[in-house]
Amino acid sequence: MNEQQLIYALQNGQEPAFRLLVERYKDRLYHTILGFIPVEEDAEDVLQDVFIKVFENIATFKAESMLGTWMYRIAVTQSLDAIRKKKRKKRAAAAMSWFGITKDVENIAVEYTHPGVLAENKERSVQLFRAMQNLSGNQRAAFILQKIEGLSQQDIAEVLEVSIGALESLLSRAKQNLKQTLSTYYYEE
Amino acid sequence: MKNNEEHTTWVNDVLNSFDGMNRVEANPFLYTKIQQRLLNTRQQSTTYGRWMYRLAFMLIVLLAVNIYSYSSFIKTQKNNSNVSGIEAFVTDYEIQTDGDNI
Repeated sequence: MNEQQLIYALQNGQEPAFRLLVERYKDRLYHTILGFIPVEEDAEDVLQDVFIKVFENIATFKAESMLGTWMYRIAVTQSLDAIRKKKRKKRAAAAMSWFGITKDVENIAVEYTHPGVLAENKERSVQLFRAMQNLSGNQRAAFILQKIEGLSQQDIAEVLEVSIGALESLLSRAKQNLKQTLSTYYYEE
Repeated sequence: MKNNEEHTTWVNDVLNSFDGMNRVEANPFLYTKIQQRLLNTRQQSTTYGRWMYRLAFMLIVLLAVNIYSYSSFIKTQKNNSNVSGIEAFVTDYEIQTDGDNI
């Protein structure tokens, strides 16, 4: 089934088409989402949210972009939303801990990495993930789509709905910010 | 100088630590899980819809009772206004007129 046929079938509510869509895109979206949320259970929840969003909104999909591009866009939005929610929860937990209602949140260490990272790079990638938390949403998305998902600049620009020039600037700023943050980590150690 | 070189190498190594990554596969039962979630959402919205219908019905009944009570009250008021207040008072308490008393 080609993309046009798949979209047509999805818009007509055919269940086998939805199953095919999930099977076709689940691995690449999961791989990307893990770049934002490197905790497998949380990433799977976001992946489910992405497909539910697709199911709910496929009727309004106008095929102005490729189906894959549209789904990557939803995955990026859902991942950034999940990160924001997590941050809000952390802030609330921190506030609670000041009043002694919950345990100290400082004890919760954030040392995660993508499960696809090669064993010899694991330790270093933990530092990179830590540094990536300081990037803005768009910078982080551009960096992940390039470095983890390996998309071309053209594809990333379409997913993020920016021009190639704007994307280049985003990537350059992302790398500069990461270098700065990593430098501070280097001197801390 | 060496320190600076080490620092640059370390930063670059960290920046390139995603190179050669293996592709990760999602849960093979993902579709079943999504189906379950969609079903739960539908059931929840059906239950919610049912409660909304019940609530709407109760509000309509309440409104009807209020309208009925108000119209009955207005009717009673109209009937009572046919008899003047003083006459009604005199009749109720069987008060005699001045001429009768003296």
